[in-house]
Amino acid sequence: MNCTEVRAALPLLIYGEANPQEAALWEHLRHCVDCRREQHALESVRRTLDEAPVPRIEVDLPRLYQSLADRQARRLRRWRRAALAVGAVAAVLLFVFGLRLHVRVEANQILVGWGNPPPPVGPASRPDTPVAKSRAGKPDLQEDLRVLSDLIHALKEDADERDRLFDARLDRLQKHVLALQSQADRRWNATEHDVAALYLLTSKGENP
Amino acid sequence: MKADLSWQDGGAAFERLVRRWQQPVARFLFHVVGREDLVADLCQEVFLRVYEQRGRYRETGAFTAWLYRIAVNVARDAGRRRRKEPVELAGAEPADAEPSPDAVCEQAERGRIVAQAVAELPEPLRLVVVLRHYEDMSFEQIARLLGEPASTIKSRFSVALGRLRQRLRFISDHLTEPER
Repeated sequence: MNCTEVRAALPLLIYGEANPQEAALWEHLRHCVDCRREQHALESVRRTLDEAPVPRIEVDLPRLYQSLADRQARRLRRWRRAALAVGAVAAVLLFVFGLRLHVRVEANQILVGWGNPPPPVGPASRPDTPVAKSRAGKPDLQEDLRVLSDLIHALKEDADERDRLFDARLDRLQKHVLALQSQADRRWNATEHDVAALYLLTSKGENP
Repeated sequence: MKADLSWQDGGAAFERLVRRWQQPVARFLFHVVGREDLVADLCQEVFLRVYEQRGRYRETGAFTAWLYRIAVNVARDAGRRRRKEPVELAGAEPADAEPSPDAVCEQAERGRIVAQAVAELPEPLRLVVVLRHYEDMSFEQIARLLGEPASTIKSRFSVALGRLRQRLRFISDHLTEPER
């Protein structure tokens, strides 16, 4: 191995992961002063890295549960809004299909009507006018309405089920928060009691 | 290590898990993010995601890898949020200014300089150094965790160590044994 290859592999050797090349590396280091110097420098960097401090952290569990509950509540609100939007769109569609609304452009006018569209009148009527054709009279209209209605019911049941699940989760989390709070209160009271006892003992020691 | 994250016992298991892993996760986040004031919040975020994503954890997989993957994502998100902020530790001196000999002798000062040097590495290099040196993962484990080839991880590690050598030479020189 030459010096360039050895230096590229030195970090792996120092961290004990230069397995297949290890013998060759040690052999080179035995003879090469420059590479040995590099090896010592990198070993010293490894030791230096251990001097970085490590902060002591205690996760605040009540705060964690509170954040979880807040997120669940936000998700529930978002889901309700989405369900409401879908419901509104479904209602509009139902209204349009139910009343058999149709829109026609005729003689520079936009006509909105419901029920069956009137038959074209006289030769003046323009058969090539773009018309949003009503679906009234088609045999599958009733079927479409039934499917739409089933869809809305299914969506509602789904929304209700999710609401129930979210509520149950929220309940569980709130119980956790309450339990942790009462535990913290008990600890606080015990500490207060201990401090008071210590204070009493200290003051007795000062004034026998 | 595998873990049961069904937590049927009303959260006690989750609390045990938090107590068990809070320190390793905090250490990892501190070395990656480089700011002690952010660690508590980021640690909290990691365990929030653990709780929320427990359904996605497969008991056949290693729990440590899954947890660290979440921690890496949280650290990356934090890095993206504060990309415009300069990396700066409380009361840090300019990176190039060599501290006085007295300061070099002070353990806290040295620790601060080391943490800063690690925090100033580009993110891909920093992650590899932190996972290999501080979390003691093998290059293979790091490669699986970050979804990169092991050869890439190894070359990143070599580059990172070279840069740290330059940045920390004034500390390391005190530790280098004289060449015989």
